[in-house]
Amino acid sequence: MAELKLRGVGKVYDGGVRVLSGIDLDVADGEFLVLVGPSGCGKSTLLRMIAGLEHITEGTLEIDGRVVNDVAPKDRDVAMVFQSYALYPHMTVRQNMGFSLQIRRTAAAEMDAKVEEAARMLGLSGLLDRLPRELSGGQRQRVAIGRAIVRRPRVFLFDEPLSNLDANLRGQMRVELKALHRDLGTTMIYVTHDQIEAMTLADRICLLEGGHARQVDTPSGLYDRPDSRFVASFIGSPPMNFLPLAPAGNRLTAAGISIPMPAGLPSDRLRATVDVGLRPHELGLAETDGGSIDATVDLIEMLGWDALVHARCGDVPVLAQIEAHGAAGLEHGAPIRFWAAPGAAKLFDHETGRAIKGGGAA
Amino acid sequence: MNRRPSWLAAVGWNLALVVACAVTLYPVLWVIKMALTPSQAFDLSPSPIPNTFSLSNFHDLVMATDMAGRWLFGHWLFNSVVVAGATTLLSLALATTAAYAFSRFVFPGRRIGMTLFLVTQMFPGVVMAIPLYLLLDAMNLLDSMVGLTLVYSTTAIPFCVWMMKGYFDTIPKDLEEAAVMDGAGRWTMFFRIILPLARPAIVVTALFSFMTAWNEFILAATFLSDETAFTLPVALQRYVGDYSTEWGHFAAGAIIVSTPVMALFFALQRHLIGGLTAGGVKG
Ligand SMILES: Nc1ncnc2c1ncn2[C@@H]1O[C@H](COP(=O)(O)OP(=O)(O)OP(=O)(O)O)[C@@H](O)[C@H]1O
Ligand SMILES: [Mg+2]
Repeated sequence: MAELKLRGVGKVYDGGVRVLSGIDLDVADGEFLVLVGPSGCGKSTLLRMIAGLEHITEGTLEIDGRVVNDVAPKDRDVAMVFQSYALYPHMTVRQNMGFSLQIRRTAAAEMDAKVEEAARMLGLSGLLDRLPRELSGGQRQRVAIGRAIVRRPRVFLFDEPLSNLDANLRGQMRVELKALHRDLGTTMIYVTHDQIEAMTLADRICLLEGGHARQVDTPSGLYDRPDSRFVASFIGSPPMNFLPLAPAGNRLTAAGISIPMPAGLPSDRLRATVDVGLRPHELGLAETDGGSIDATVDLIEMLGWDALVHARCGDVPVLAQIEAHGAAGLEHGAPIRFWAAPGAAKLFDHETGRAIKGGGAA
Repeated sequence: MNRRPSWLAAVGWNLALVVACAVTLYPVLWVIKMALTPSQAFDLSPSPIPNTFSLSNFHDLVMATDMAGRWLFGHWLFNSVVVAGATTLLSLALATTAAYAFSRFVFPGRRIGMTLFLVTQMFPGVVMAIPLYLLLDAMNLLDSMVGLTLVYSTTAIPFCVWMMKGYFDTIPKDLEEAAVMDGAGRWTMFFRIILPLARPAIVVTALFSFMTAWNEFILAATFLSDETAFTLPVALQRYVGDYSTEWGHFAAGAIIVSTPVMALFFALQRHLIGGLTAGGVKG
């Protein structure tokens, strides 16, 4: 059990490549924190600095109130699950899982008991005497997790543990990880670039971009109150639409688009063009007073219960997620009018991408 | 797509292989024939099939004693085994550790070091005979197994380091990072993770150093003058004299010398399999 405190953490690699700057982050005891962001944003680097595999070049990392910048990985009492699994190929599952205990000179009987308990939790009991090469991908992943949990560390670190699994298995393992966290109650930090994984697993998400922490919030906080256009576009699937609109009276408009101005906006923010964000499911075909978008249908993706309508308004792409029966008759090139759900529109500064919030809290 | 090799191609290949085998085996059979023929002279018939069967050459060789009644063959065999064994152990110990450092650590002189190792391999051993002789003489290590072991190890180690480094480079670093997270120090990592995974490379390295020492003749002949200090190849050479050559003894000796190497090959060949790291990491 542990809480982590990162203060001004940054990383400059040998040779002067800067990959992280000014990360401030608090992880509460027992929390499931997900680090998410596009490829190359520094997620793995941050995780490896917490693990102790990478030197912290700026700032401090505290675990349970103790600065551990210069503490060796084995003395930080954290365990890590690698994307590549990194199982010892010449050791059986039992030996793989027992290795850390053996190094700590745990008595054989205790070691066996711990390994078997972990194996039971992960459904590996029948596989303890196999070699890694005799296991399926999902089983290997479980062994990698088992190796981390046998010694009950204070913090678990996961670096994209599911990215080598097929979609089905990934969904299943996601649920198992969530249950594992519930059962163990240990602090977990989890890296992924998959926003669905982030949304489903996290107590809180830290969204990284270009080496900066852009926003740290609960999944619903990030989804409902994104700080910036980047956050809004990254979280949520399918991704949010952004319409560059200009103020005209009490509406925001562009050719073919007219949306009522949200109430309570600071007046100085509304002289220039703003980006209006609408999620695909916030667009529909039934008339509302949320405003309308006139577009031309590009193509339809049928998903079963619902459908994705890819359309175009001038050169602005518009994506709508509507019920499948509504999309049935639509054809390429047909004109279509979408109606926005009232009050759904989120506003972003067209230049900086910052969220524009009502009540003067820009 | 799945075309079966034509009948003609199959016959061609097999014929070629049979010829290659015959060409390789012919001299070997000749050596066996000479060893089994009691006379020390050539039999000029081209047939490699022995027409007599006698172990007297082996007997003479194995039972040879010097004037003081010392059992020479025992000395030679002992010397050869000790020198080759010690060379193997020393080379393995130094080459695996050095190669690991070259593979994993960044330190000044890393590239130069590897290049220098390569450069030393460009000189034939004979070139070094005189300077090495002077060195050994100064250290009082002529006629000594320690001296010979040192010389052989220095010749074997550069190749072994290259060989081992190449192999270590293919072992994923993730495995070591996982071991670090499990609490392993460098030595634990080296002995418990790296060495077991490098088994094929270690076997090759061991065979190479053993053979370097076991078969070497020129340097041994230069540094050894006491008959009881000889290694087997040096001893054998005495049967090829300036005026008369005892072909039978020589051939018997050749067989005795090469048998252990062959036995070693057979014993170790099952370790020479690749893919030991399979299953550990994905991607
Ligand atoms: N040893 C290194 N030296 C210099 N730059 C590095 C080093 N390791 C990583 N980088 C750079 O740091 C940046 C962040 O890398 P990192 O592996 O943390 O990204 P990531 O967010 O995990 O990406 P991905 O989702 O692709 O795994 C990348 O631009 C990478 O090129
Ligand atoms: Mg990564």
